[in-house]
Amino acid sequence: MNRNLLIALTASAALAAPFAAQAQSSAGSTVVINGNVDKACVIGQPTTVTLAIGNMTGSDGKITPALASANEAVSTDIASAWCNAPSTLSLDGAPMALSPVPAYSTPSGFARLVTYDANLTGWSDPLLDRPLIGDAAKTVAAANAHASPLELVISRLAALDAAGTTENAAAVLEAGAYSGSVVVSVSVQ
Amino acid sequence: MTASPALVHGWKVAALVVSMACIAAPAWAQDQATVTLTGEADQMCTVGQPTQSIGALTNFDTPSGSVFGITRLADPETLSTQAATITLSMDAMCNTIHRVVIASDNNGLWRQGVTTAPSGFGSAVPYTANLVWADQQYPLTAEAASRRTVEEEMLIGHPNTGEMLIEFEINTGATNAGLGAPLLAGEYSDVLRVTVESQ
Repeated sequence: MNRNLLIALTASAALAAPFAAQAQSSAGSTVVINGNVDKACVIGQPTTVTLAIGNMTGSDGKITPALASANEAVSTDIASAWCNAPSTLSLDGAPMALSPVPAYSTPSGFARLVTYDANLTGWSDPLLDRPLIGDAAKTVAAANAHASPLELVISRLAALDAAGTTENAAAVLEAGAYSGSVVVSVSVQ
Repeated sequence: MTASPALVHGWKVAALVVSMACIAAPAWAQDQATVTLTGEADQMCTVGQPTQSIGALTNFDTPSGSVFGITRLADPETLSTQAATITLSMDAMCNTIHRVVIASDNNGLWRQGVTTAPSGFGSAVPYTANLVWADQQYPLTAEAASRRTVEEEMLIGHPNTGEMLIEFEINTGATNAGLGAPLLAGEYSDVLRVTVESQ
C-alpha cells in the first residue's frame, strides 16, 4: 500500500517538470565544482627494517677494517617515497649503543657507542648522516613534487668516546649487543 | 526525546564508519620510516708474549723469547740463593668482565731430576710473582714447600686493556731447606702461566 503511494508521487513529479520548464523562454545555470588536493608526503616501509651487521670486531677487539672502510656494510631499499608539493627529506641516525648498559662507566681504551655513515640516495639530493649523541637530523629540500625509491647504505663504522661526540678509532668495543636507528622522514614545506 | 535502542545502535554504527573513513584517507603532511641497526662485539681476551719491562733487573740474563734465565742462581761463596728480580710486561686486553689466573707449575724453582736432596741442601728456590693488572696487585707466592701447582685467581669486574706486569722476585738465601741453605748443583726451573678469560 505504501509502496504504491510512493510510486505515484514520483510519477507526478516527473510529469510536473516539463510544465515548469516551459514557463520561461530561456534559462541558464552554472554549476561550480570545487576540489582540493592536500599537500601530502608518503614513504613506504624499508625492504629490510632491521639491518644486522653481525660481529663488528676483529681479533684486536676494534672495529674491523672492512666495516671501518667506505665499503657498504649493510643496506636497504624503500620502494616508494613521494611528496606532491615542495618537501623536506630528513635523515636522523642514532649511534649504535651497547645494550644493556653496564653498571660501570666506560673504561679507558674502550667504547660502547658506534657511529657510521648513513647514506640516503634517490631524492632530489643525497643525504649523509654520521650520527653523534645530541646532533641534529640532516635535511634536504625539494623545490617541487617528487617521487622516487630510496636506498639507505651503511658504511664507515667507528667507535665513539664515552660522550658519543668524538670518534676514537683506537678504542676497543666493549663486548655485547649494539643497536641504533635511522629515521627517514619526508614532510611538506 | 529519548532515542530508541535501535537508533542509538545506528548512531554507533555511523560514528564507526566516519572514524574508519578518517583512517583510510588521511592527508599525510609527514611520513617516516625507521631502520634499526644491530651488531655485536664478541667477548674477547688477548694476552701477548712477555718481554722485559722497564724497572728493576737483577741477576737475569738478557731475555730470549719466553725464557728468562737467571744469570747465577747460587752465590759462589755461600752456595745459597742469590737475589734476582725482573719485571715482565705483556700487552693484554679483555673487553668484558674477566678472570685472570697466574699459576706456577712447580710452586717454586725446582731442581731437575728426582734425586732426593741430602739433608741440609736445598733443591728448590721459592719466589714471589706479583701480577699487576687493572690497577690492582695480585701476589702469587711459590713457597717451594712441595712440588705442585699453585695459582692465584682474580675476577676483574670490568673490561681492561693495557700492560700486564709480573714482578718476579727471588730473595737472597731463599731455599726449601731453610734460609741460606746451600743449593744442590743442577738446573732449576719453573713455568709461570697467565690466563685471561672472559666471564
